[in-house]
Amino acid sequence: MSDIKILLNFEKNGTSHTLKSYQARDGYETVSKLKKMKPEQVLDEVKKSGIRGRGGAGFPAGIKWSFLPKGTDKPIYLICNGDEGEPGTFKDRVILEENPHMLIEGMILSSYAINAKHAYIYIRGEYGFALHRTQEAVKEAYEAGYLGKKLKGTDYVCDITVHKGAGAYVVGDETGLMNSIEGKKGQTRNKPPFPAIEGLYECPTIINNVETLASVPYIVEKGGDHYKSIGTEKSSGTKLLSVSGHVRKPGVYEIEMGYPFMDFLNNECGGILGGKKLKAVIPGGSSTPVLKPENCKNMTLDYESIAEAGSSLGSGAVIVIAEGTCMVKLLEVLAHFYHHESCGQCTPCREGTGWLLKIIKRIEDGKGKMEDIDLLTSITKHIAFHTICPLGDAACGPVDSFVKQFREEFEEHIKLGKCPYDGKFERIQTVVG
Amino acid sequence: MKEVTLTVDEKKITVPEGTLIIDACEQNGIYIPRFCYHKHLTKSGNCRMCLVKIERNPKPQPSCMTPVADGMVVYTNTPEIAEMRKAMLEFVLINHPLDCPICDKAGECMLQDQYMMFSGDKSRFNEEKVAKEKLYIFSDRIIYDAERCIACSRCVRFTREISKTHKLGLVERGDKTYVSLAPGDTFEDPYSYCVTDICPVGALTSRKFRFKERVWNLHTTDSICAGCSRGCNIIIETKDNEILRVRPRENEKVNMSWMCDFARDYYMNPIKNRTSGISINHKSVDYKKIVEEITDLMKEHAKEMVFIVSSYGTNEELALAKQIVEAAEIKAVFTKFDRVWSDSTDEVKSDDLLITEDKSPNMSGVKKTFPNAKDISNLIISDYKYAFVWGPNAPMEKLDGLHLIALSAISDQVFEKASWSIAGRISTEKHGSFTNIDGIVQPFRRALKGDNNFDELLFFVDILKGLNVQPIGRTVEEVRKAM
Repeated sequence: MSDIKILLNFEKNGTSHTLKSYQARDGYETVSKLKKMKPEQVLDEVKKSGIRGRGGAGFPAGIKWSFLPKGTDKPIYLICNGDEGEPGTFKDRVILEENPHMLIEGMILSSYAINAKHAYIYIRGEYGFALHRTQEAVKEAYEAGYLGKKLKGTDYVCDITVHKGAGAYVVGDETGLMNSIEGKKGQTRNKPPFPAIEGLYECPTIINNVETLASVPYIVEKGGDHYKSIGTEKSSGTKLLSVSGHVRKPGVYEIEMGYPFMDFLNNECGGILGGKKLKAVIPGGSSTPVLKPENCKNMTLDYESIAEAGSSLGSGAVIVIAEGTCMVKLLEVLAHFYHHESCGQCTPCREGTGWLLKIIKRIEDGKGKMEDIDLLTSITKHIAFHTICPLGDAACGPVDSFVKQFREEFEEHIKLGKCPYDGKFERIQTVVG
Repeated sequence: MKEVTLTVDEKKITVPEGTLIIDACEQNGIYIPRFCYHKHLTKSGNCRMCLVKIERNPKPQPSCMTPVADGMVVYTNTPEIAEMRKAMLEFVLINHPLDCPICDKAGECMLQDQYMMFSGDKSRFNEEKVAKEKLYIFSDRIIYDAERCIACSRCVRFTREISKTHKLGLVERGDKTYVSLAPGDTFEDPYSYCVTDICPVGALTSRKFRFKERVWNLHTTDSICAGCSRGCNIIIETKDNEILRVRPRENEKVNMSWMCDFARDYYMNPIKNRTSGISINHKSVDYKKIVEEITDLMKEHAKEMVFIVSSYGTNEELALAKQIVEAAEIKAVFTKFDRVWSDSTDEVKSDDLLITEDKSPNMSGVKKTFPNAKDISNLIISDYKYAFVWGPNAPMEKLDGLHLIALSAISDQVFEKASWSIAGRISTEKHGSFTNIDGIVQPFRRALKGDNNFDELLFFVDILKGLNVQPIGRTVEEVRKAM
């Protein structure tokens, strides 16, 4: 693996989040480049870089930006989506807590590129420390004149507001997040209209993930072409992965796209806890389909390869599952999450997530019937793609893939009339990575 | 307006640009099931019942949120759509109590109807339902059953967009979602009953109608509200000659789908101070006798007589009254408001939605029929000896000392003092038409049989006969035609 570090290019010494430390690592250098760059040039570099949205959907950021209406008389907003709610995902947290100035710099550049005068950083309610660190950083950036004042050599002024969420997974969806900023209930909107046309306060809005925006200073500094040369053909750059589950060294890692998964698991992450066998991997956050070891053998860590293996890179949340884990119980935990987080706005998700949970719980409790397994997939068929937002789809992803990959385990529960696992997984000291 | 042609279920249809698919289909005889969609509310697209397949779109789209486009190809009848509708109904029903036998909405419930139309399948749900509050008292008028609620948000949008009281909101998440007031608040809203009309299920019900009658036993009559000059289109529902429920009837030009609470309560309560019988000098007489006497009075004293018109009179009655006034050459005609707003009740004086300041239904018709008639406040008493007073609420001090002929359904001082008095009917007891504040003529049918057989229209016909004048018509229909 190449040693290239774009986002985690600092030593974790307790001061990396400060302006002083960031400037010592040549932070905010690209801001002075803006006097020689037109907004279109910044946009062009981002387009050239090919960077894909790091929030989960993987939509190319430069193309998203170009959806903005030309010559609009409404204000344009930029939002940084820091509502990192997907179970298993905690990679944005590292940026918000340890490297917030890189995000702010990225947001200044991005706002300049799309001509947004006001940007928002939306941070999930549970991230108290990240919120604190980010607010401090924004304050420092104001004091240093990067925000709220004309940038040197330009007429451009950027303002950033940090907004705290109230604890809803569904607000990670862009339109739900906008409703939340507007002070409404955190529920998503029907699309169209898409945010680029009618987003925050009914104005054109661009919303990107923390990691995406924090990568922009590097792209502007080194050029889009350089960034494109990192990683694979279709998945350029580096990716933060948050690794959790039964690995010896869970944590957040920055890898170059295209790195072989098994090498990553065995080398960087130190292998499976207790030397156990790998049972399953959820590669991109809880809503991405689960993979078996045989699916992962030749898989590399990039959008295409993981898609080919039958799942998705998603938000880069790798959940590693070792032998000895009950997959039905694990699915119950996930189903509980989606039921709890369903906003209740649209019918299939509101009613369906609870139904799924009840059936899965019944199977786990040994009270399932054989026909319940097919019932599960026939329910997901009518939730997925029939809801307003992707929460419905997200809730179905694990159900379908767990049933598909581990059907025999469901059948075993039903035949035995109880869970074949004792529910214990021996506690082994993990190494903090 | 620009027209757009699209294909629905392999049939080409043409509708105005901007029409929603759901409306375009309905206008062309294709009914798409729906819960959250309401014609007169913003669209929320949350029930997912109206999803249709649009060619080149990978996901089914809500037809209530998608405007038509030229060349669009829509499918509403594929096996996939049929299966999806069944699935949506199954979802809606998993936590919905199957208490139709005791639910007031049964018989007019969108969930019941659409389940019968689009599914009929047995539910595969064998788990425990989510339990919620069954009896949530919103106000003296409205009760909410959270278990029956399907969270369509119609009522919430109504209070935000139409009545603008912002009283209701959806709280909690997921399958715990329910409609709520702010803590400690009551649902005070001059249009609150409308939420019971638009609730697609039996979640919001009227406390006045709750458990009174199964809806299929009600006799329905199209009527026009006489509570103010808006002339809201309404449906009066009766059983055994008693009004059990009144609800709005859709009219885009007048009241959309709404009516005020005051009028509903007004119709539900029997009207006090009803007059009865026919009397001369406070002694009961028969109909023939009073027609004779009044005809004679008109023949002999028209030059000393003033005719005061009722703003509750129907257009047809007014037309004959005009014929009488002209034939008998009655000296003068004055108008009056039969009902006026008083601050002693909780009635809203007027608002921006429907309620008008003129609390009688047909002043527009009166003014059209008698364009030169002045308001009764201009009456100079010394000019007359006789007054024909039609309808209640004429100020006694304006008439004191005159010989009074009173025709009214509501008793007042004038009626009590009148030498000739005839008990009339209220608008629910007769056919006719009113002209509303915007000049729209609106016919209505009789909903109740009154206690007496008296008929104002026939009475005017008989007087005209006594005056040897051919009436322009002898029935409501004939008069209407002749007008």
